[in-house]
Amino acid sequence: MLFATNLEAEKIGIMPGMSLADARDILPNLNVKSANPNADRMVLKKIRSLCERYSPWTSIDYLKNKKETEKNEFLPATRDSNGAGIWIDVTGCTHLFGGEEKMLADMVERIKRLGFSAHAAIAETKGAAWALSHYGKMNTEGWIRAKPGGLSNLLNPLPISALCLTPSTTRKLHILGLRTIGNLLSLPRASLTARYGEIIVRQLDSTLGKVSEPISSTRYEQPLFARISFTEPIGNLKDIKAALEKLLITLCHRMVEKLVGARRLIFTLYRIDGTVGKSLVNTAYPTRNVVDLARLFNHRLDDIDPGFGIEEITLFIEKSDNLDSFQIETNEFNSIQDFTSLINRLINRFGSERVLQPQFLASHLPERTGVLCPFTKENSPNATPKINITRPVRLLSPPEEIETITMITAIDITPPAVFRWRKVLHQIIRTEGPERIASEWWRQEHPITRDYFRVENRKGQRFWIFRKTDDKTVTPRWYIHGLFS
Amino acid sequence: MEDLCAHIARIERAGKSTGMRISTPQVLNTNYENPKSYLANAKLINGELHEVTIPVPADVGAATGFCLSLLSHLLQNHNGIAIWCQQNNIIDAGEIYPPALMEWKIMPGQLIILKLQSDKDVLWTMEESLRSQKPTAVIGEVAHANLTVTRRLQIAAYQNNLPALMLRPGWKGTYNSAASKRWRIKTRKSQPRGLAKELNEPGNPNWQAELYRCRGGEPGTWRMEWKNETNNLTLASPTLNRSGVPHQTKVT
Repeated sequence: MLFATNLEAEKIGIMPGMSLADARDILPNLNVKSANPNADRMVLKKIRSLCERYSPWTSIDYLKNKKETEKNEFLPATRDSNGAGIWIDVTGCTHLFGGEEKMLADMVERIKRLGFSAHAAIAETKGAAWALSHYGKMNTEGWIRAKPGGLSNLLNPLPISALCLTPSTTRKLHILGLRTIGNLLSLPRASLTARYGEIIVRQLDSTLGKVSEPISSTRYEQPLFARISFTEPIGNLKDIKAALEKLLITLCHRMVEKLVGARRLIFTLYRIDGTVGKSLVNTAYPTRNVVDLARLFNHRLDDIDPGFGIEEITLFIEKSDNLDSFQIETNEFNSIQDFTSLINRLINRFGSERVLQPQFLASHLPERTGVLCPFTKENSPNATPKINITRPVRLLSPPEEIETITMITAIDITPPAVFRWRKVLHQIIRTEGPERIASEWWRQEHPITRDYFRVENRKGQRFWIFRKTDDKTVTPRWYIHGLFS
Repeated sequence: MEDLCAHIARIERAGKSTGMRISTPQVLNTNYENPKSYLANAKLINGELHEVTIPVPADVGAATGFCLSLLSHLLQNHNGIAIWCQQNNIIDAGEIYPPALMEWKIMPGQLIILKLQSDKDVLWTMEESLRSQKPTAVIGEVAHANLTVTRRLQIAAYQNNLPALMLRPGWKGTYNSAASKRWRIKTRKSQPRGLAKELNEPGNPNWQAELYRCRGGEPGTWRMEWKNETNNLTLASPTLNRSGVPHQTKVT
């Protein structure tokens, strides 16, 4: 089956959805290549990220493909049955590009430059934009714009497939001789609903904007996004840094107003050849200090390749957290707030899994009682438990088995008098224990019971050793779990 | 009086900044106050790099305890945060176990632990942390160090007036170091008291801390005992284990 065809083929009647035999019948020397949907998707993703220059709110149009896979029917042969699309919500962004027309022309031009053919449409509803971009009559530049109020005039001549209905419904309507949206609109709504269900009327209404598509009631927050485009492409690292700082200043001012701090920042570079470079920075604690944030990027920018030059940069704060205003001069110098810039730098250099802080968990097992977990706001230390028994300063994970020299029987509860750990013999002169530690009863899969001893050797070195009691073997096995100070 | 002390300290520091003095450590006949003036007084260890060598790998626990004792006082006086960098590849001595910190009255939020891959990373972190002036103290465990490295850290510590500690687990040899204080830690037999003695249980941690190099001060060897009950580092009471003078070691 043909997955996609080019314009020349469509002129002589070879359409996507045709079987290869049929196509060969029309044109015997047809040039065929096997389809690679994954690669297509990758390209789409790249184009999508390119479109982020217009608005941060972009997504790939998977809608149509999904419908086709649900209904395993023969694909209607239309010129776009696998045409890929990208949604861009440009609400409030168009003025930055000198109006809607200029923005559309810019979009089409940019994608054309990459070697693709593209159609762009802008309309007040999602459905109408889809219908126009796929079936609308484009102007010479390859875009179409629905003027406010002029939507129904533009939609009337479009075929019914533009309504994004299931193929079976579309076919039924075709049989009845209903070819265009205009035809449908002229029919009484009640009879349409009675025959074909609610779906047609609903699609019509949402496309024409009579029924608003449901939007979640959360108030729309203006994204923390800033961009600079350059009249001349830049390639100098110093210039990029200066521009980035400019963006940071803008965003930090806005963050001060909103009382938030950045947690994740995405810095995007648009090169003139259409490729996009990205750099992502995470912070452990919300920050809105320009100097600190710029320093986080310093390290990253060194390996950015400007290519033939960079024509535009954007900075988007993807994740932010509340950060109340605070006094600079307080007596508590070393509060965590003061620490954020240093921690953020360490995390961005070594990764969050290397910068740790102690945390306590409610468990009896030593390796679960106290753990080291990544240093983030979410993991800030909880209440500390009261521990009255001496615990080792260093914990070996996992516990290491020790070689006991003397014969011990299972009945023996005292630790061995001599043991070998890492090739060194240790002669025990003092012992304390046993302290029986068992895993919680609700952890039934691997119940663990251990008898812990605190032992001291001749030199005074103290170890935390335990015997596995769940072992049913005759000679119990001993392990070392920690070193005392 | 304090100004005067600071002035003297400055002169001594300036005067002895060149060259390294190796001498047989004088064993000080110390009283209870003396080690405190070296250890617990944050003013003295601020702005200096302390190097802690641990010749026997199994003594890492003792050295960790020693460092925590130093930290404990600092953190309680300043209410700050300390940074502890571990290097994974030295010797596997385990990681710091959070419940033990409670014994030193160090809250979990007061310690940030970094587990890094190489000496280079540890040294970078130590220097950056010192220069940022944010932490109260910086501790790093490294496998190798040399004069350049220690001098950098010493300068960073001095300029930012913060204490830095460098742990050298499993290190036996000697090398030139710019650290203003060099310690060597060994474990000693504990001295259980009371019921623990009767039951033959281990007592409080006992260490032999040898200050074998001290810029602007006198080297010495002390036997110390960490008292859990009072959260205090004291000299091991000589009456309990009277083996004449405290243990004497020679600097190689």
